[in-house]
Amino acid sequence: MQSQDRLRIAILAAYAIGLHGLERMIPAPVPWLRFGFANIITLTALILYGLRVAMTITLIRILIVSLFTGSFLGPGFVLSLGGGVASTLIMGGAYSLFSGIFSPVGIGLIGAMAHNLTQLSLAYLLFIRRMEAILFVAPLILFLGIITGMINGMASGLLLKKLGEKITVTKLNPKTKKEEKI
Amino acid sequence: MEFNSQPATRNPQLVVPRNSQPATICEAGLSLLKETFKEITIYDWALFVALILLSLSGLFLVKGLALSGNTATIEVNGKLIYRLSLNEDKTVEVHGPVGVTRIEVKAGKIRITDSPCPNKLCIRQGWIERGAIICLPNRVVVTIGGDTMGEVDAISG
Repeated sequence: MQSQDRLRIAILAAYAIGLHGLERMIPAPVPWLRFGFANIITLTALILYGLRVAMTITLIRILIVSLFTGSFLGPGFVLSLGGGVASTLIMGGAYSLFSGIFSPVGIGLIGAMAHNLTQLSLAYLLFIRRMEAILFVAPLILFLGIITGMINGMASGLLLKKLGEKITVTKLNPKTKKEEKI
Repeated sequence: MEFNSQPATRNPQLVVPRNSQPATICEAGLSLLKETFKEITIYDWALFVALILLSLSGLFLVKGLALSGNTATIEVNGKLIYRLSLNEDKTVEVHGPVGVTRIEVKAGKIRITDSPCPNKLCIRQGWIERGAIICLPNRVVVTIGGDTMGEVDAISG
C-alpha cells in the first residue's frame, strides 16, 4: 500500500463521517427511513481497497460520529455498530463471491439488507423483546432500505466510475502477490 | 456554430465558449446517470425486484395479521398477565400495586371500567380500538395489536 493510498483511505473515512453527520441532520419523512449515505463510501472503499480498509473506515466512522453526537455506547451506538460491521462483512463476502454477477448496485443492495436485518434482530435481542412489534415494522423498514440501498449503490457506481477515470487503482492480487490494475 | 452567432453579436459577454465536450453540467450528469444505469446487471435488477416484492408481500401480510388478529395484551408492572382476543366479549380483573383494575372487552373494543387510581384517567379514556391505555398508578398497560412500534423509532440509527 502506497502513502497515496493511505491518504485516500483517510479522505474516504472523512467523507463517510461527513455523510453520516449530514444524514443525521436531515429530518426523515418516515420515522424509520435512514438514507445510509455512508454506505456509499464503505462500498467504494470495499471495491477499491478491499474488506479490511472498508471495515476500518466503518469502525472509524461509527466511533467518531458517536463520540461527536454523544451516543457512544448507547443503544443507538450498538445498533449502528452492529449494522455497520455486519453489512460491511456481508458486502465483502458478496463482492468476493459474486463480483462477476452483481455490479456495485447489487452489492450495495445486499449490504443495505444486511444492515437492516442486523439492526432489527439486535433491537429484538437487546431492547424490545416483542416479536410482534418487530415483525410489524420489519417489512416497511426493509422496503425503505431496498430503495435507499439501490440509490446508494448507484451513487457508489458513479463514484467508482469517476474515480476510475481520474486515478489508476491498483489492487493486491491475493494469488500472485502482485499489484494489478482494476 | 450558426446557432451561437446571433446572441454573440448582440451580447458578447454572455456567450459561453462551447469548446468542452459536455455542454452543460446537467447534460453531463444525465449521461453519467445513463452510463451508471447501463452498468447495472440483469441480476441486480432481479435482486431488486425480488426484494421489493418480498417486502411488499410482507407489508400486506403484516397488515392482514394486524386486522384479523385483533388482540389486546394486559401488562401489570411490565409482566404480561392477559392476552385477550377482541372478538369475544369478556371482563377480566388484574391486581396491581394499588388495587384491582377491571377491564372490559366488548364488540372489538376494550376499556377500563374500574380502577383504584386517584385521577381515573384510564377510565375516562373510554373504549379504544387501537393504541393503548396506560394506568400509571396501578402500573396497568393495555395495548392493542402492534402499536408498540413507537419504541423502535427512538433507537434506530
